[in-house]
Amino acid sequence: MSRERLNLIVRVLLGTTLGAAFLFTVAAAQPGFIDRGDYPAGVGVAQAIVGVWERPMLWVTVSRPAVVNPPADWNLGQHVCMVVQVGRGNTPAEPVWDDNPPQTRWDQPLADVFIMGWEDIIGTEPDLGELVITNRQLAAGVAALLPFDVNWFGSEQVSLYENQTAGGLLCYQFKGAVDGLDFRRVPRLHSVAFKARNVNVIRRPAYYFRFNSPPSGTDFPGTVTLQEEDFTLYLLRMAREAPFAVRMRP
Amino acid sequence: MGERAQSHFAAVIGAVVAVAIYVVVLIGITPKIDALYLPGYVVYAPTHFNDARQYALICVQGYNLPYAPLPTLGTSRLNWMPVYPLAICALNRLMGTSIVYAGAVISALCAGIAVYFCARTLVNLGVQRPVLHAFAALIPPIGGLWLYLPGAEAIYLAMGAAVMWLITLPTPPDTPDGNRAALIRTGGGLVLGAVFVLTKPNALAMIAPLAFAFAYQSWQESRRAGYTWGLFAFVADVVIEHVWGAVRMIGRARPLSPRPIRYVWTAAGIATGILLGFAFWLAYSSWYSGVPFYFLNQQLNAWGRAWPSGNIGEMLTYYAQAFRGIDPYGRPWRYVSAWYLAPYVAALIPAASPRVPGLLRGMLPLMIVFVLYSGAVHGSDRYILSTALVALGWACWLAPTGKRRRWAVLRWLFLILIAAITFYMLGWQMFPRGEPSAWGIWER
Repeated sequence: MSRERLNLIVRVLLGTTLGAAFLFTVAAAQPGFIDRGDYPAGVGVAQAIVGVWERPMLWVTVSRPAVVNPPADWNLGQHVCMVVQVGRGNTPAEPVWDDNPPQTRWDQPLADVFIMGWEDIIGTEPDLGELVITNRQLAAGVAALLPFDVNWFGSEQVSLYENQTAGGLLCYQFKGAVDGLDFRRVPRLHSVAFKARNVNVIRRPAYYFRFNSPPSGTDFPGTVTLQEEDFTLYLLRMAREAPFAVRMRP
Repeated sequence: MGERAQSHFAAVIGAVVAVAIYVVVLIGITPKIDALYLPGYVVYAPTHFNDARQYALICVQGYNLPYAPLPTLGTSRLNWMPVYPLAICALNRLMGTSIVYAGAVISALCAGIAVYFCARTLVNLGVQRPVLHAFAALIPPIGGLWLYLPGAEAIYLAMGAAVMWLITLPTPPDTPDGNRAALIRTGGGLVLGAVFVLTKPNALAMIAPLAFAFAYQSWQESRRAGYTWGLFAFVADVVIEHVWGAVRMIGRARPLSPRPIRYVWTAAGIATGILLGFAFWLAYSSWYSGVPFYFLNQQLNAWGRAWPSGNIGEMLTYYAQAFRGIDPYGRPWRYVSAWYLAPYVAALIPAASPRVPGLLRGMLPLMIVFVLYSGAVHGSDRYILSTALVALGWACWLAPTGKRRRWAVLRWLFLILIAAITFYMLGWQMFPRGEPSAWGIWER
């Protein structure tokens, strides 16, 4: 092999390799969005909503889930209630009760806000019932008849900027229909997952709950068996344990 | 026994001794490795012990995303490059070695491989007592403890030593067989480069030094063939030749007057392989995660402590605080920045010494330029000093060049002294206090 031939072969080899590297880089630039679905989340522990990694993650902490029984004369049936807090930043932070939250953040770019609304709370149950957030129904009774102020979560859109946290009480039922008749209930097995908007979510935490049924070997890890509790006593407990969500009215 | 066989045999003996030394250290840290896999799952593991567990888990579970949803571990396993876990898997599956210890066994073997290739490289560079001085690779002057912790440092050092050996091999003669050997070396270098960067992304820092090596070695070879101008003129001539060649391919142009330019392609092959390996991992991790340029984003953002975006101004501010009076509250911020500045100085000592061959003296500062550009404030101790390039620079600096051996002994003592002091500082002073983690700019 002559030197000229060697130089030619090497130039072609290196050029081809650099071309392959360029093609790999092009492939890396447009991988297509992949939704990796839910992962079983742990109650009481901050869990990440995993988004595009160049943007910050959101943390979701679900705690104190229970099936609550509002006073019978409200005719609302059983609900699942839980304390939810969400936050952005490197580490999850506890929200505080804020009587005067800012109305606007005019000096911060809109592109940097992550949004979580009721559409981002996704409930699933085996009978394909639809999750309905029942904060408003309960709020009317609480405001009129019970001595608590409640910071509800999920009824309205939550906007989160960097290092911001929010939280409150989330209550819901599952709506279904049998023989053309609507009914609302707490199913024996269901899950609730959280996602966010203005960010590409790759994986989201899903919480699995059982009610009135024994644990099964096929349950996801971290599945919580819900206990029944009187609604007033539940709110009283939350006023002590989660003061950013519930407080006694002065 | 011929001279070549003798040097090979001596290098093998050196490698065996290196493995023995490494194994003694490993036996000392075995209880800590054991603890990583005790029932109950250890959520947090310090420094490289966490790395060791991730490599083992990659072998068992593959790359998954994210590797734990807990806030304390919010980064992806795709940060851990695939060569080391593949080696762990291979040892586990083929030899039946426990997966808990397979990584440590590979690191021990790699300590031997590193010393073997360093010794062979020093032979190529004409250094006296090459096997003895190759042991400098096992004594990084700053933060040498990292090399002995479970992780990819040892295998990265070994791969780097193989790279340095390949580029320092004597140039084959201009004969049909010699040119065929040069082609094989270039192809082998391409593969080696890809494997090198898939061992640790730090290999990216070698691209500029390898580009220099290509220019320097080609210049030297051309001078032997009658080229009379300097290195910069040679680089300009190479560029002109290639640009003019491209012009001639697409249109009519007169050929340039012939110049005695000779190419030594091995270093260019390795650098191209590094780019290919990096681009592959970028594409793979992006495909796997669904995020554009995933790996790069991880390194620049999610892995921010180790590799914040490059900003020379901020880095100068950061390193300057080593000399600022910010005691007593900012003390860790002061000496930790001094700690991270030290590896740059340590790498430049051989670069500044005429005792070291020109090839290495040119390569060393270029590697540092990349680390500075990338902004690797945190971790410069292991990023810089786990490369075989720096190890070989120190080996050349240590070795006597004339007949005065006494100074070599004093240089060895100097190296061992600063290595021992920094080894003690890292293991007994900084780790127990959760440092070196005071890596930010002190703004008090």
